[in-house]
Amino acid sequence: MRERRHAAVAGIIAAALGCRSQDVPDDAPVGSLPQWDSIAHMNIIMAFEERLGRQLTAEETASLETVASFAALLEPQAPGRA
Amino acid sequence: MGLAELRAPIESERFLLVPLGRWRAFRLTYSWTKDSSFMSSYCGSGERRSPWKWYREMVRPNNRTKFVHAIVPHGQTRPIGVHMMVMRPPKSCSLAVGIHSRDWWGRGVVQEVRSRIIEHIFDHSDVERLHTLVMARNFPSVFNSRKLGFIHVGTLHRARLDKATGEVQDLLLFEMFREQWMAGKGLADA
Repeated sequence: MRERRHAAVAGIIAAALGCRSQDVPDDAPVGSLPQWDSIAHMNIIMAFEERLGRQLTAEETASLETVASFAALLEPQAPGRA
Repeated sequence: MGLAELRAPIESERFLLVPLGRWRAFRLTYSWTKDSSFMSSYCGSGERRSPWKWYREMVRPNNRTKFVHAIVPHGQTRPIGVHMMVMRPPKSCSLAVGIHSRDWWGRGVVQEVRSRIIEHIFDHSDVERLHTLVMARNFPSVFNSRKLGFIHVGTLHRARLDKATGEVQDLLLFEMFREQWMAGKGLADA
């Protein structure tokens, strides 16, 4: 399950950055990949919100530190999830 | 450490950061107030302002405790944006930035300018704490604050009304202390 979540997140991020999913490690900090600039970050969050079907809360937006922290938002107990 | 140094223009790799007086800051930024989408991300509200309203609202630099730096690319004369810093006791400074020229969006201007300004503040003043308020839906600003090492310390919920759109936004408060900046710089230099 965890792998599936990571794969989904890596896919969203890779699509926004124009790279391969394999190049998006789970522990990569936000902004650590060369293509990951402020505009790419905006595109990632918007794509991620589309996948979630809702807007991220302010706290969620501020808490995004690594690729894994995006994946954590897909967990059933994540805030804002029914 | 002194006022003369603090007031001096700052140079970064691609930009000259020129401290403006009140009138020049007003003349430069008032023309941008007609750009609603820019003003929404810059000030949280894209409504039209009269000259007087904008003068009251803008940071009015005194070049002692309040500074507005025009961001001018090397080899050019026209500023592409401004960076503001307002110092207040006790040893605290708030920061804000607006890049008006779309040609420069996504090109690392905020990272370059702000890191140079932070160095300048810590080199030439006794400021110990920096803070910045960012609209929660302004994802590029959230990204830039985090990447520079600012820490999210609080959220002001439903704190800002954009009169142009009727939208109410949350604000994120980020802060960073001198020792945190120095530690991060040490890691970057290592």
